Amino acid sequence: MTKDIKMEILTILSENSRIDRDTVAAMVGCDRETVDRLIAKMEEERVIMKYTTIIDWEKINKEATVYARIDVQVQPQREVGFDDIARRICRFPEVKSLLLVSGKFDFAVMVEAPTMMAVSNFVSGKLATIDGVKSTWTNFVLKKYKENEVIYGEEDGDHRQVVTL
Amino acid sequence: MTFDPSHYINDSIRAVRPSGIRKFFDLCAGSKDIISLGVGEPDFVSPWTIREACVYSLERGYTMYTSNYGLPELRHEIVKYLEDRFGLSYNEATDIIVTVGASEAIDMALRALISPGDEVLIPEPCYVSYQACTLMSHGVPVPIVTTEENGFRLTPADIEAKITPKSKVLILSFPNNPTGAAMSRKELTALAEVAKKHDLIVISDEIYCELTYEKEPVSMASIPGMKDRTIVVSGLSKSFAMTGWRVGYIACHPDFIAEMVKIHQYTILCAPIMGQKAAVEAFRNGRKEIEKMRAEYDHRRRYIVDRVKKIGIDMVTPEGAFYVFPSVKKFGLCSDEFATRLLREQKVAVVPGTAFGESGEGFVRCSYATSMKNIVEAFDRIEIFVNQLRKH
Repeated sequence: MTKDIKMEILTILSENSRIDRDTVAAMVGCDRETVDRLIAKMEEERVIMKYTTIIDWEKINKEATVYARIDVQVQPQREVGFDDIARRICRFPEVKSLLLVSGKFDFAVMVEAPTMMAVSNFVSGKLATIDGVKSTWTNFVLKKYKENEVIYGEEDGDHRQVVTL
Repeated sequence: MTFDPSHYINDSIRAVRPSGIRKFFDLCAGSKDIISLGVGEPDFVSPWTIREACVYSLERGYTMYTSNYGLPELRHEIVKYLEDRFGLSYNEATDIIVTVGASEAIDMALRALISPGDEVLIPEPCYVSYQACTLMSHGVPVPIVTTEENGFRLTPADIEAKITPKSKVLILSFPNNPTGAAMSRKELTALAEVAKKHDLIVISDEIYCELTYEKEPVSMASIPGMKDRTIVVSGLSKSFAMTGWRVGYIACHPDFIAEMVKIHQYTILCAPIMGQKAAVEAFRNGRKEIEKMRAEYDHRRRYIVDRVKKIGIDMVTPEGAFYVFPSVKKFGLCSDEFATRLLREQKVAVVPGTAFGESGEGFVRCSYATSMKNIVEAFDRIEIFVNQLRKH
Protein backbone atom coordinates (compact mmCIF):
# COMPACT_ATOMS: atom_id res chain seq x y z
CA MET A 1 0.00 0.00 0.00
CA THR A 2 2.70 2.46 1.05
CA LYS A 3 4.67 1.36 -2.00
CA ASP A 4 1.71 2.18 -4.26
CA ILE A 5 1.35 5.62 -2.70
CA LYS A 6 5.09 6.18 -3.08
CA MET A 7 4.86 5.29 -6.77
CA GLU A 8 1.93 7.64 -7.20
CA ILE A 9 3.76 10.46 -5.45
CA LEU A 10 6.83 9.90 -7.61
CA THR A 11 4.75 9.92 -10.79
CA ILE A 12 3.20 13.24 -9.79
CA LEU A 13 6.55 14.79 -8.77
CA SER A 14 8.28 13.59 -11.91
CA GLU A 15 5.76 15.61 -13.87
CA ASN A 16 5.84 18.68 -11.63
CA SER A 17 8.17 18.75 -8.63
CA ARG A 18 6.90 22.18 -7.54
CA ILE A 19 3.36 20.97 -7.02
CA ASP A 20 1.83 21.94 -3.68
CA ARG A 21 2.08 19.13 -1.10
CA ASP A 22 -1.55 19.48 -0.01
CA THR A 23 -2.58 18.97 -3.61
CA VAL A 24 -0.41 15.85 -3.81
CA ALA A 25 -2.05 14.53 -0.64
CA ALA A 26 -5.53 15.01 -2.11
CA MET A 27 -4.49 13.45 -5.41
CA VAL A 28 -3.18 10.27 -3.84
CA GLY A 29 -5.87 10.16 -1.17
CA CYS A 30 -3.88 10.40 2.05
CA ASP A 31 -3.07 13.13 4.56
CA ARG A 32 -0.44 15.82 4.22
CA GLU A 33 1.70 14.38 7.04
CA THR A 34 1.95 11.03 5.26
CA VAL A 35 3.03 12.69 2.03
CA ASP A 36 5.66 14.78 3.86
CA ARG A 37 6.95 11.71 5.67
CA LEU A 38 7.14 9.54 2.55
CA ILE A 39 8.85 12.26 0.52
CA ALA A 40 11.35 12.92 3.34
CA LYS A 41 12.10 9.21 3.51
CA MET A 42 12.58 8.93 -0.25
CA GLU A 43 14.86 11.97 -0.19
CA GLU A 44 16.89 10.41 2.58
CA GLU A 45 17.15 7.12 0.68
CA ARG A 46 18.09 9.07 -2.43
CA VAL A 47 15.14 7.60 -4.32
CA ILE A 48 14.41 11.26 -4.93
CA MET A 49 17.87 12.50 -5.84
CA LYS A 50 17.31 16.10 -6.77
CA TYR A 51 14.57 18.56 -7.73
CA THR A 52 15.56 20.19 -10.95
CA THR A 53 14.27 22.23 -13.87
CA ILE A 54 14.29 21.54 -17.56
CA ILE A 55 15.44 24.71 -19.28
CA ASP A 56 15.59 25.60 -22.92
CA TRP A 57 18.98 27.34 -22.62
CA GLU A 58 18.98 28.29 -26.25
CA LYS A 59 16.14 30.69 -25.51
CA ILE A 60 17.91 32.53 -22.71
CA ASN A 61 21.60 32.09 -23.42
CA LYS A 62 23.15 34.60 -25.78
CA GLU A 63 26.44 32.77 -25.69
CA ALA A 64 25.96 29.44 -27.33
CA THR A 65 26.63 26.28 -25.38
CA VAL A 66 28.20 23.32 -27.13
CA TYR A 67 27.06 19.80 -26.37
CA ALA A 68 28.84 16.66 -27.44
CA ARG A 69 28.59 12.97 -26.92
CA ILE A 70 32.02 11.45 -26.46
CA ASP A 71 32.20 7.73 -27.07
CA VAL A 72 35.01 6.31 -24.99
CA GLN A 73 36.72 2.97 -25.18
CA VAL A 74 38.55 1.94 -22.01
CA GLN A 75 40.55 -0.90 -20.59
CA PRO A 76 38.56 -2.31 -17.64
CA GLN A 77 40.66 -2.88 -14.56
CA ARG A 78 41.03 -5.91 -12.36
CA GLU A 79 38.50 -6.08 -9.48
CA VAL A 80 36.93 -2.69 -10.14
CA GLY A 81 36.02 -3.20 -13.81
CA PHE A 82 34.74 0.05 -15.27
CA ASP A 83 33.76 1.71 -12.00
CA ASP A 84 37.02 3.41 -11.13
CA ILE A 85 37.46 5.07 -14.50
CA ALA A 86 33.78 6.01 -14.59
CA ARG A 87 34.09 7.79 -11.24
CA ARG A 88 37.14 9.72 -12.44
CA ILE A 89 35.33 10.86 -15.56
CA CYS A 90 32.17 11.78 -13.62
CA ARG A 91 34.01 14.30 -11.47
CA PHE A 92 34.64 16.74 -14.34
CA PRO A 93 31.97 19.45 -14.31
CA GLU A 94 31.88 19.38 -18.11
CA VAL A 95 30.44 15.86 -17.90
CA LYS A 96 26.64 16.06 -17.71
CA SER A 97 25.95 12.37 -17.87
CA LEU A 98 27.91 9.16 -18.17
CA LEU A 99 26.53 5.83 -19.29
CA LEU A 100 28.15 2.42 -19.64
CA VAL A 101 26.84 0.97 -22.87
CA SER A 102 27.14 -2.24 -24.87
CA GLY A 103 28.59 -2.15 -28.39
CA LYS A 104 31.77 -0.89 -29.98
CA PHE A 105 32.69 1.46 -27.18
CA ASP A 106 32.18 1.42 -23.42
CA PHE A 107 31.10 4.85 -22.19
CA ALA A 108 28.76 7.41 -23.67
CA VAL A 109 29.80 10.68 -22.05
CA MET A 110 27.57 13.73 -22.49
CA VAL A 111 29.70 16.84 -22.30
CA GLU A 112 28.76 20.51 -22.18
CA ALA A 113 31.16 23.44 -22.64
CA PRO A 114 31.01 27.04 -23.88
CA THR A 115 32.82 26.48 -27.20
CA MET A 116 33.89 23.72 -29.54
CA MET A 117 37.46 24.52 -28.62
CA ALA A 118 36.65 24.03 -24.93
CA VAL A 119 35.12 20.62 -25.66
CA SER A 120 38.08 19.63 -27.74
CA ASN A 121 40.51 20.79 -25.03
CA PHE A 122 38.59 18.81 -22.45
CA VAL A 123 38.67 15.67 -24.55
CA SER A 124 42.30 15.85 -25.57
CA GLY A 125 43.63 17.35 -22.35
CA LYS A 126 41.59 15.60 -19.67
CA LEU A 127 39.52 12.71 -20.90
CA ALA A 128 41.87 10.99 -23.34
CA THR A 129 44.80 11.19 -20.92
CA ILE A 130 43.07 9.28 -18.11
CA ASP A 131 44.81 6.01 -17.40
CA GLY A 132 42.86 3.19 -19.03
CA VAL A 133 41.19 5.31 -21.72
CA LYS A 134 42.13 3.71 -25.04
CA SER A 135 40.35 5.93 -27.53
CA THR A 136 37.64 8.61 -27.91
CA TRP A 137 35.22 9.66 -30.63
CA THR A 138 33.69 13.12 -30.33
CA ASN A 139 30.18 13.69 -31.72
CA PHE A 140 28.98 17.29 -31.53
CA VAL A 141 25.26 17.83 -30.96
CA LEU A 142 23.76 19.81 -33.82
CA LYS A 143 20.27 20.30 -32.46
CA LYS A 144 18.23 19.07 -29.54
CA TYR A 145 14.74 17.83 -30.29
CA LYS A 146 13.75 16.01 -27.15
CA GLU A 147 15.29 15.65 -23.74
CA ASN A 148 13.91 14.27 -20.47
CA GLU A 149 10.61 13.53 -22.16
CA VAL A 150 10.18 17.15 -23.18
CA ILE A 151 9.99 18.06 -26.86
CA TYR A 152 11.81 21.35 -27.51
CA GLY A 153 9.90 24.26 -28.95
CA GLU A 154 6.66 22.39 -29.22
CA GLU A 155 3.52 23.30 -27.36
CA ASP A 156 0.44 21.38 -28.43
CA GLY A 157 -2.52 23.63 -27.78
CA ASP A 158 -5.94 22.44 -26.66
CA HIS A 159 -7.89 22.16 -29.88
CA ARG A 160 -11.10 20.94 -28.28
CA GLN A 161 -14.35 22.91 -28.31
CA VAL A 162 -14.96 24.76 -25.05
CA VAL A 163 -18.11 22.88 -24.12
CA THR A 164 -19.25 19.47 -25.34
CA LEU A 165 -21.67 16.95 -23.88
CA MET B 1 -47.94 31.83 -49.88
CA THR B 2 -44.53 31.96 -48.26
CA PHE B 3 -42.41 28.90 -48.22
CA ASP B 4 -42.07 27.48 -44.70
CA PRO B 5 -39.52 24.66 -44.42
CA SER B 6 -40.66 23.73 -40.91
CA HIS B 7 -43.99 22.76 -42.39
CA TYR B 8 -42.34 19.80 -44.05
CA ILE B 9 -40.43 18.45 -41.07
CA ASN B 10 -41.35 15.03 -39.77
CA ASP B 11 -43.06 15.15 -36.37
CA SER B 12 -40.66 12.84 -34.61
CA ILE B 13 -37.69 15.00 -35.60
CA ARG B 14 -39.53 18.14 -34.58
CA ALA B 15 -40.14 16.57 -31.16
CA VAL B 16 -36.40 16.34 -30.54
CA ARG B 17 -35.10 19.29 -28.53
CA PRO B 18 -31.90 20.90 -29.75
CA SER B 19 -28.94 20.43 -27.41
CA GLY B 20 -29.19 22.59 -24.30
CA ILE B 21 -25.63 23.81 -24.32
CA ARG B 22 -25.67 25.99 -27.40
CA LYS B 23 -26.15 29.04 -25.20
CA PHE B 24 -23.10 28.19 -23.14
CA PHE B 25 -21.06 27.59 -26.17
CA ASP B 26 -21.93 31.04 -27.47
CA LEU B 27 -21.24 32.68 -24.09
CA CYS B 28 -17.81 31.03 -23.95
CA ALA B 29 -16.96 31.86 -27.53
CA GLY B 30 -16.96 35.57 -26.80
CA SER B 31 -14.60 35.71 -23.83
CA LYS B 32 -11.00 34.93 -23.09
CA ASP B 33 -9.28 33.38 -20.07
CA ILE B 34 -12.07 30.92 -19.54
CA ILE B 35 -11.19 27.72 -17.75
CA SER B 36 -13.43 25.08 -19.13
CA LEU B 37 -14.70 22.21 -17.04
CA GLY B 38 -17.29 21.76 -19.72
CA VAL B 39 -15.54 19.44 -22.10
CA GLY B 40 -16.88 15.94 -22.55
CA GLU B 41 -13.80 14.44 -24.11
CA PRO B 42 -10.29 13.50 -22.94
CA ASP B 43 -7.66 16.23 -22.74
CA PHE B 44 -5.08 13.69 -23.91
CA VAL B 45 -4.24 13.49 -27.57
CA SER B 46 -4.52 9.96 -29.03
CA PRO B 47 -1.29 8.10 -28.18
CA TRP B 48 1.37 8.52 -30.87
CA THR B 49 1.58 4.85 -31.70
CA ILE B 50 -2.08 5.01 -32.77
CA ARG B 51 -1.67 8.17 -34.85
CA GLU B 52 1.46 6.79 -36.46
CA ALA B 53 -0.28 3.54 -37.42
CA CYS B 54 -2.98 5.54 -39.19
CA VAL B 55 -0.43 7.61 -41.10
CA TYR B 56 1.36 4.44 -42.12
CA SER B 57 -1.88 2.85 -43.32
CA LEU B 58 -2.55 5.91 -45.48
CA GLU B 59 0.95 5.72 -46.93
CA ARG B 60 0.30 2.09 -47.77
CA GLY B 61 -2.85 3.08 -49.62
CA TYR B 62 -5.57 1.87 -47.24
CA THR B 63 -8.23 4.29 -48.40
CA MET B 64 -10.99 1.88 -49.44
CA TYR B 65 -14.27 0.60 -47.98
CA THR B 66 -14.13 -2.20 -45.47
CA SER B 67 -16.64 -4.98 -44.86
CA ASN B 68 -19.92 -3.59 -43.50
CA TYR B 69 -19.08 -5.35 -40.26
CA GLY B 70 -15.66 -3.68 -40.08
CA LEU B 71 -12.11 -4.87 -40.72
CA PRO B 72 -11.77 -8.55 -39.74
CA GLU B 73 -8.56 -7.81 -37.82
CA LEU B 74 -10.32 -5.12 -35.83
CA ARG B 75 -13.26 -7.38 -35.00
CA HIS B 76 -10.71 -9.96 -33.92
CA GLU B 77 -9.07 -7.44 -31.57
CA ILE B 78 -12.45 -6.32 -30.19
CA VAL B 79 -13.46 -9.89 -29.40
CA LYS B 80 -10.09 -10.56 -27.77
CA TYR B 81 -10.36 -7.40 -25.70
CA LEU B 82 -13.91 -8.13 -24.52
CA GLU B 83 -12.86 -11.60 -23.47
CA ASP B 84 -9.72 -10.43 -21.73
CA ARG B 85 -11.30 -7.49 -19.94
CA PHE B 86 -14.83 -8.69 -19.14
CA GLY B 87 -14.71 -12.46 -19.65
CA LEU B 88 -17.14 -12.19 -22.58
CA SER B 89 -17.11 -14.57 -25.50
CA TYR B 90 -18.24 -13.34 -28.91
CA ASN B 91 -17.81 -14.64 -32.44
CA GLU B 92 -15.83 -12.16 -34.50
CA ALA B 93 -17.57 -13.20 -37.72
CA THR B 94 -21.15 -12.83 -36.55
CA ASP B 95 -21.45 -10.86 -33.30
CA ILE B 96 -19.66 -7.56 -33.93
CA ILE B 97 -20.22 -4.45 -36.02
CA VAL B 98 -17.65 -1.65 -36.06
CA THR B 99 -19.60 1.61 -35.93
CA VAL B 100 -19.01 5.32 -36.37
CA GLY B 101 -18.54 5.92 -32.67
CA ALA B 102 -20.75 4.54 -29.94
CA SER B 103 -23.28 7.19 -31.04
CA GLU B 104 -24.10 5.33 -34.23
CA ALA B 105 -24.30 2.10 -32.28
CA ILE B 106 -26.94 3.56 -29.95
CA ASP B 107 -29.00 4.84 -32.86
CA MET B 108 -28.71 1.55 -34.73
CA ALA B 109 -29.63 -0.56 -31.72
CA LEU B 110 -32.71 1.55 -30.98
CA ARG B 111 -33.82 1.64 -34.60
CA ALA B 112 -33.47 -2.11 -34.89
CA LEU B 113 -35.52 -2.79 -31.75
CA ILE B 114 -38.17 -0.11 -31.50
CA SER B 115 -41.55 -0.27 -33.20
CA PRO B 116 -43.80 2.79 -32.90
CA GLY B 117 -45.06 3.15 -29.35
CA ASP B 118 -42.51 0.84 -27.69
CA GLU B 119 -41.19 2.24 -24.45
CA VAL B 120 -37.52 2.77 -23.73
CA LEU B 121 -36.51 3.06 -20.08
CA ILE B 122 -33.80 5.69 -19.72
CA PRO B 123 -32.11 6.35 -16.39
CA GLU B 124 -31.56 10.09 -15.97
CA PRO B 125 -29.62 12.33 -15.73
CA CYS B 126 -27.88 10.88 -18.74
CA TYR B 127 -26.11 11.56 -21.97
CA VAL B 128 -28.31 13.41 -24.41
CA SER B 129 -28.63 11.00 -27.29
CA TYR B 130 -30.77 8.22 -25.78
CA GLN B 131 -33.94 10.24 -25.61
CA ALA B 132 -33.38 11.82 -29.02
CA CYS B 133 -32.60 8.51 -30.73
CA THR B 134 -35.66 6.93 -29.12
CA LEU B 135 -37.87 9.72 -30.47
CA MET B 136 -36.30 9.45 -33.90
CA SER B 137 -37.09 5.71 -33.83
CA HIS B 138 -40.75 6.56 -33.02
CA GLY B 139 -40.35 5.09 -29.56
CA VAL B 140 -41.47 6.54 -26.25
CA PRO B 141 -38.70 7.57 -23.88
CA VAL B 142 -39.54 6.81 -20.25
CA PRO B 143 -37.12 8.56 -17.91
CA ILE B 144 -36.16 6.85 -14.67
CA VAL B 145 -34.78 9.41 -12.28
CA THR B 146 -31.69 8.31 -10.39
CA THR B 147 -31.14 10.21 -7.18
CA GLU B 148 -28.35 11.69 -5.17
CA GLU B 149 -29.48 9.56 -2.21
CA ASN B 150 -28.73 6.39 -4.20
CA GLY B 151 -25.48 7.81 -5.52
CA PHE B 152 -27.15 8.18 -8.94
CA ARG B 153 -27.10 4.40 -9.26
CA LEU B 154 -30.10 2.58 -10.66
CA THR B 155 -32.08 0.24 -8.40
CA PRO B 156 -34.49 -2.59 -9.31
CA ALA B 157 -37.31 -0.68 -7.60
CA ASP B 158 -36.64 2.36 -9.82
CA ILE B 159 -37.16 0.20 -12.90
CA GLU B 160 -40.15 -1.70 -11.54
CA ALA B 161 -41.94 1.58 -10.91
CA LYS B 162 -41.81 2.46 -14.60
CA ILE B 163 -42.60 -0.91 -16.18
CA THR B 164 -45.67 -1.11 -18.42
CA PRO B 165 -46.76 -3.73 -20.96
CA LYS B 166 -45.07 -1.53 -23.59
CA SER B 167 -41.63 -1.53 -21.92
CA LYS B 168 -39.16 -3.08 -24.31
CA VAL B 169 -35.68 -1.68 -23.85
CA LEU B 170 -33.67 -0.59 -20.84
CA ILE B 171 -30.71 1.64 -21.48
CA LEU B 172 -27.83 1.44 -19.04
CA SER B 173 -24.98 3.90 -19.17
CA PHE B 174 -22.52 3.28 -16.38
CA PRO B 175 -20.04 4.74 -15.63
CA ASN B 176 -22.37 7.62 -16.24
CA ASN B 177 -22.07 10.91 -18.02
CA PRO B 178 -22.84 13.32 -16.28
CA THR B 179 -23.01 11.86 -12.75
CA GLY B 180 -19.86 9.71 -12.67
CA ALA B 181 -21.85 6.90 -11.02
CA ALA B 182 -20.68 3.34 -11.63
CA MET B 183 -22.44 0.04 -10.88
CA SER B 184 -20.92 -2.98 -9.16
CA ARG B 185 -21.41 -6.57 -10.27
CA LYS B 186 -23.83 -7.14 -7.41
CA GLU B 187 -25.92 -4.12 -8.33
CA LEU B 188 -26.00 -5.09 -12.00
CA THR B 189 -27.03 -8.62 -11.06
CA ALA B 190 -30.04 -7.21 -9.24
CA LEU B 191 -31.00 -5.16 -12.31
CA ALA B 192 -30.53 -8.22 -14.52
CA GLU B 193 -33.26 -10.03 -12.57
CA VAL B 194 -35.69 -7.23 -13.38
CA ALA B 195 -34.68 -7.25 -17.05
CA LYS B 196 -35.29 -10.99 -17.27
CA LYS B 197 -38.55 -10.84 -15.33
CA HIS B 198 -40.00 -8.21 -17.68
CA ASP B 199 -38.32 -9.53 -20.82
CA LEU B 200 -36.39 -6.31 -21.44
CA ILE B 201 -33.55 -5.94 -23.88
CA VAL B 202 -30.68 -3.99 -22.34
CA ILE B 203 -28.65 -1.58 -24.40
CA SER B 204 -25.57 -1.15 -22.25
CA ASP B 205 -23.50 1.87 -23.18
CA GLU B 206 -20.10 0.97 -21.74
CA ILE B 207 -18.07 3.72 -23.38
CA TYR B 208 -16.62 4.89 -20.03
CA CYS B 209 -16.00 1.38 -18.72
CA GLU B 210 -12.20 1.68 -18.74
CA LEU B 211 -12.50 4.77 -16.59
CA THR B 212 -13.79 3.04 -13.47
CA TYR B 213 -12.06 3.84 -10.19
CA GLU B 214 -11.85 1.89 -6.97
CA LYS B 215 -13.71 -1.07 -8.44
CA GLU B 216 -13.37 -3.45 -11.37
CA PRO B 217 -15.33 -2.51 -14.48
CA VAL B 218 -18.18 -4.91 -15.19
CA SER B 219 -20.10 -5.46 -18.41
CA MET B 220 -23.83 -6.12 -18.14
CA ALA B 221 -23.39 -8.88 -20.72
CA SER B 222 -21.15 -10.76 -18.30
CA ILE B 223 -23.94 -11.16 -15.71
CA PRO B 224 -25.22 -14.77 -15.93
CA GLY B 225 -28.17 -15.08 -18.26
CA MET B 226 -27.74 -11.58 -19.70
CA LYS B 227 -25.49 -12.06 -22.72
CA ASP B 228 -28.29 -12.84 -25.18
CA ARG B 229 -30.49 -9.95 -24.08
CA THR B 230 -27.72 -7.36 -23.78
CA ILE B 231 -26.47 -5.19 -26.60
CA VAL B 232 -23.03 -3.97 -25.63
CA VAL B 233 -22.22 -0.55 -27.06
CA SER B 234 -18.73 0.81 -26.65
CA GLY B 235 -15.86 2.43 -28.48
CA LEU B 236 -12.38 3.81 -28.29
CA SER B 237 -13.20 7.49 -27.85
CA LYS B 238 -12.86 7.78 -24.09
CA SER B 239 -10.59 4.89 -23.19
CA PHE B 240 -7.93 5.55 -25.83
CA ALA B 241 -8.56 9.30 -26.18
CA MET B 242 -9.77 8.81 -29.76
CA THR B 243 -12.95 10.90 -29.90
CA GLY B 244 -12.42 12.44 -33.31
CA TRP B 245 -11.66 9.13 -35.01
CA ARG B 246 -15.26 7.99 -34.63
CA VAL B 247 -14.68 4.33 -33.95
CA GLY B 248 -17.14 2.40 -31.84
CA TYR B 249 -18.61 -1.06 -31.86
CA ILE B 250 -21.60 -3.13 -30.99
CA ALA B 251 -21.40 -6.67 -29.63
CA CYS B 252 -24.49 -8.84 -29.24
CA HIS B 253 -26.50 -11.86 -30.34
CA PRO B 254 -25.87 -12.64 -34.06
CA ASP B 255 -29.59 -12.39 -34.88
CA PHE B 256 -29.60 -8.78 -33.67
CA ILE B 257 -26.42 -8.12 -35.63
CA ALA B 258 -27.96 -9.53 -38.81
CA GLU B 259 -30.77 -6.98 -38.60
CA MET B 260 -28.68 -4.05 -37.41
CA VAL B 261 -26.10 -4.47 -40.11
CA LYS B 262 -28.82 -3.63 -42.64
CA ILE B 263 -29.19 -0.19 -41.11
CA HIS B 264 -25.43 0.28 -41.00
CA GLN B 265 -24.98 -1.00 -44.55
CA TYR B 266 -27.59 1.28 -46.11
CA THR B 267 -26.83 4.43 -44.15
CA ILE B 268 -23.12 4.35 -43.34
CA LEU B 269 -21.67 1.43 -45.32
CA CYS B 270 -18.68 1.18 -43.01
CA ALA B 271 -16.72 3.14 -40.43
CA PRO B 272 -13.80 5.01 -42.08
CA ILE B 273 -10.90 2.68 -42.67
CA MET B 274 -8.34 5.15 -41.26
CA GLY B 275 -10.05 5.06 -37.89
CA GLN B 276 -10.37 1.30 -38.03
CA LYS B 277 -6.66 0.86 -38.79
CA ALA B 278 -5.83 3.15 -35.89
CA ALA B 279 -8.16 1.18 -33.64
CA VAL B 280 -6.37 -2.07 -34.45
CA GLU B 281 -3.11 -0.49 -33.27
CA ALA B 282 -4.85 0.88 -30.16
CA PHE B 283 -5.96 -2.58 -29.07
CA ARG B 284 -2.63 -4.19 -29.97
CA ASN B 285 -0.20 -1.67 -28.51
CA GLY B 286 -2.13 1.08 -26.79
CA ARG B 287 -3.62 -0.60 -23.76
CA LYS B 288 -0.86 0.42 -21.40
CA GLU B 289 -1.66 4.03 -22.30
CA ILE B 290 -5.16 3.50 -20.89
CA GLU B 291 -3.62 2.70 -17.52
CA LYS B 292 -1.56 5.89 -17.55
CA MET B 293 -4.53 8.05 -18.45
CA ARG B 294 -6.79 6.39 -15.89
CA ALA B 295 -4.19 6.93 -13.16
CA GLU B 296 -4.04 10.60 -14.04
CA TYR B 297 -7.82 11.03 -14.14
CA ASP B 298 -7.99 9.29 -10.78
CA HIS B 299 -5.53 11.76 -9.23
CA ARG B 300 -7.63 14.63 -10.46
CA ARG B 301 -10.85 12.98 -9.26
CA ARG B 302 -9.50 12.51 -5.75
CA TYR B 303 -8.23 16.07 -5.63
CA ILE B 304 -11.65 17.41 -6.65
CA VAL B 305 -13.56 15.23 -4.18
CA ASP B 306 -11.32 16.53 -1.38
CA ARG B 307 -11.47 20.12 -2.56
CA VAL B 308 -15.24 20.18 -3.07
CA LYS B 309 -15.71 18.85 0.46
CA LYS B 310 -13.43 21.58 1.85
CA ILE B 311 -15.29 24.28 -0.05
CA GLY B 312 -18.52 22.91 1.42
CA ILE B 313 -20.33 21.82 -1.72
CA ASP B 314 -22.48 18.67 -1.55
CA MET B 315 -21.43 16.00 -3.99
CA VAL B 316 -21.73 12.26 -4.49
CA THR B 317 -18.26 10.73 -4.85
CA PRO B 318 -18.01 9.74 -8.50
CA GLU B 319 -16.60 6.31 -9.32
CA GLY B 320 -16.21 6.51 -13.06
CA ALA B 321 -15.92 8.55 -16.27
CA PHE B 322 -14.29 12.01 -15.88
CA TYR B 323 -17.14 14.00 -14.41
CA VAL B 324 -18.25 15.21 -11.02
CA PHE B 325 -21.85 16.27 -10.50
CA PRO B 326 -22.03 18.57 -7.48
CA SER B 327 -25.30 19.85 -6.08
CA VAL B 328 -25.82 23.60 -6.21
CA LYS B 329 -29.22 23.51 -4.54
CA LYS B 330 -28.13 25.16 -1.31
CA PHE B 331 -26.88 28.26 -3.10
CA GLY B 332 -30.38 29.29 -4.08
CA LEU B 333 -29.79 29.34 -7.82
CA CYS B 334 -31.08 26.98 -10.46
CA SER B 335 -28.46 25.04 -12.46
CA ASP B 336 -28.65 27.32 -15.43
CA GLU B 337 -28.27 30.50 -13.36
CA PHE B 338 -25.42 29.02 -11.36
CA ALA B 339 -23.54 28.01 -14.51
CA THR B 340 -24.24 31.30 -16.28
CA ARG B 341 -23.11 33.43 -13.36
CA LEU B 342 -20.07 31.28 -12.69
CA LEU B 343 -19.07 31.78 -16.29
CA ARG B 344 -19.71 35.54 -16.28
CA GLU B 345 -18.27 36.29 -12.85
CA GLN B 346 -15.40 33.84 -12.52
CA LYS B 347 -14.90 32.62 -16.08
CA VAL B 348 -15.27 28.97 -15.30
CA ALA B 349 -17.39 26.96 -17.71
CA VAL B 350 -19.46 24.07 -16.33
CA VAL B 351 -22.56 22.48 -17.83
CA PRO B 352 -25.96 22.90 -16.11
CA GLY B 353 -27.37 19.56 -15.04
CA THR B 354 -30.57 20.24 -16.94
CA ALA B 355 -28.69 19.63 -20.21
CA PHE B 356 -28.89 15.94 -19.17
CA GLY B 357 -32.60 15.80 -18.42
CA GLU B 358 -34.98 17.63 -16.10
CA SER B 359 -33.76 15.60 -13.15
CA GLY B 360 -30.39 17.31 -13.56
CA GLU B 361 -31.91 20.47 -12.05
CA GLY B 362 -29.95 21.47 -8.98
CA PHE B 363 -26.65 20.09 -10.26
CA VAL B 364 -23.84 21.10 -12.58
CA ARG B 365 -21.45 18.85 -14.44
CA CYS B 366 -17.74 19.55 -14.10
CA SER B 367 -15.40 17.60 -16.33
CA TYR B 368 -11.90 16.84 -15.08
CA ALA B 369 -10.61 16.11 -18.53
CA THR B 370 -8.27 19.07 -18.14
CA SER B 371 -4.88 19.66 -16.54
CA MET B 372 -4.34 19.69 -12.76
CA LYS B 373 -3.25 23.29 -13.10
CA ASN B 374 -6.60 24.23 -14.65
CA ILE B 375 -8.52 22.17 -12.12
CA VAL B 376 -6.82 23.85 -9.15
CA GLU B 377 -7.40 27.30 -10.63
CA ALA B 378 -11.01 26.49 -11.56
CA PHE B 379 -11.86 25.35 -8.04
CA ASP B 380 -10.11 28.39 -6.54
CA ARG B 381 -12.49 30.47 -8.60
CA ILE B 382 -15.50 28.30 -7.75
CA GLU B 383 -14.64 28.74 -4.07
CA ILE B 384 -14.65 32.53 -4.45
CA PHE B 385 -17.92 32.33 -6.34
CA VAL B 386 -19.81 30.22 -3.80
CA ASN B 387 -18.43 32.24 -0.90
CA GLN B 388 -19.91 35.34 -2.50
CA LEU B 389 -23.23 33.54 -2.97
CA ARG B 390 -23.22 32.58 0.71
CA LYS B 391 -22.84 36.22 1.77
CA HIS B 392 -26.00 37.28 -0.02
